[in-house]
Amino acid sequence: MASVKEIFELHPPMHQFEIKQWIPIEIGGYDVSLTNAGAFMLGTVALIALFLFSATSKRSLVPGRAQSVAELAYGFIANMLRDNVGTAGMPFFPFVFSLFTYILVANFLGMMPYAFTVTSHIIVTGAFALFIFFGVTLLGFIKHGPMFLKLFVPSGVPFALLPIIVPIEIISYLSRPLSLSVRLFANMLAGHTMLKVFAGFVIALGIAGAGPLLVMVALTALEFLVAFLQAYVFAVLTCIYINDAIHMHEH
Amino acid sequence: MTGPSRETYGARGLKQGPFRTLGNKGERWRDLRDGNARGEGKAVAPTDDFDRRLERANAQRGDAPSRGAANPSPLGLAFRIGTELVVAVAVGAVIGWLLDQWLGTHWLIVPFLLLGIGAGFRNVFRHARQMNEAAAQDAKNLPSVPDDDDDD
Repeated sequence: MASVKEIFELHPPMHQFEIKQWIPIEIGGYDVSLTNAGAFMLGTVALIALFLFSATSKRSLVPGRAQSVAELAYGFIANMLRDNVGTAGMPFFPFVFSLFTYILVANFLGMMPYAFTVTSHIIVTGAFALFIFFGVTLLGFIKHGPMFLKLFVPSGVPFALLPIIVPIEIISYLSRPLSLSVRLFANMLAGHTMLKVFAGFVIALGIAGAGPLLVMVALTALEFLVAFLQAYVFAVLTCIYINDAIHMHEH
Repeated sequence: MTGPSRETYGARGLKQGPFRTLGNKGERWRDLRDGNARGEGKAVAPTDDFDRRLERANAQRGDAPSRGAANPSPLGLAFRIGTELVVAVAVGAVIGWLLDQWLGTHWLIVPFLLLGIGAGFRNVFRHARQMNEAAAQDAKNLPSVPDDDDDD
């Protein structure tokens, strides 16, 4: 029976996050090889496009199974935007819908054995978060001009407190992209590492490994929940940020 | 499950063939409902219930965001509050540290760390207040919602 140490040396828990070159490509001195991360990103987009195109191609009045799922996804995001932003948010529906489906499918793809989890890399989630952050800030300035800066000055605050409150509000605003990206990436990274570690225990403990195996089953279910929940939270927060930029709530 | 074939309900099916009569019938039902009745007796159009529900749904759907509803995902909210509290502290510390590097000072990290902690708590308070407002709104809306239990 292999010891726990041997198992983890043979199968390091962090090994699954390594980026590997699949097809080496070099353009103008830049390394633009197709890596496992890139391949899974393309796969995610292809899966979404393929599913949505095939599900909506029939456009029947009484939807079939696939069309029901597509309509459900549409309704889910449309209601989310309407609840959080109102009808003024509907121009952003394509963006939020793409964002949600991409993260959701990438997370679920990552749950497949031997698959690579795109969203477990902070460079991916960080790019999303920064794009949303700068986009929303730009949107706010386009809609309100310099008045958008009033977002950092909450109404009803005594003048003497402003030197403290304004920096706090600015830091709170600046922490948005970091909290968005860290939450998604950390959840994916921690969850998948945990699964791998418990899987190592199952092998190392032999018959007693039934205990960790049971935990593994429960954790896998939890990971599926987290995969959906993180996509949902990402989309909801995007809606809330868009709402702040459009309506400038006095919250 | 064996239901009617998909084509029966498609736009193509309505345009031609035996479904043409279905389309005409639909128009007659609408006439009956709108008071242009050509026949007598109470006609109940099959689209009536749908129309009513659509009207109700459209009335509920305002232009303004309706954030009053109870949070649909408590676990999602927990994830949000947790990270926002921690991350704001890190952002404050990093800003202070970068300013120290830039200005060649050694103490700016302290006030900015404190501001970051303040921002973290501000984030949590904001959530708490929103939850309070939502709860208050729910309590206000509650009596206007008819209680289904009274019927049976």
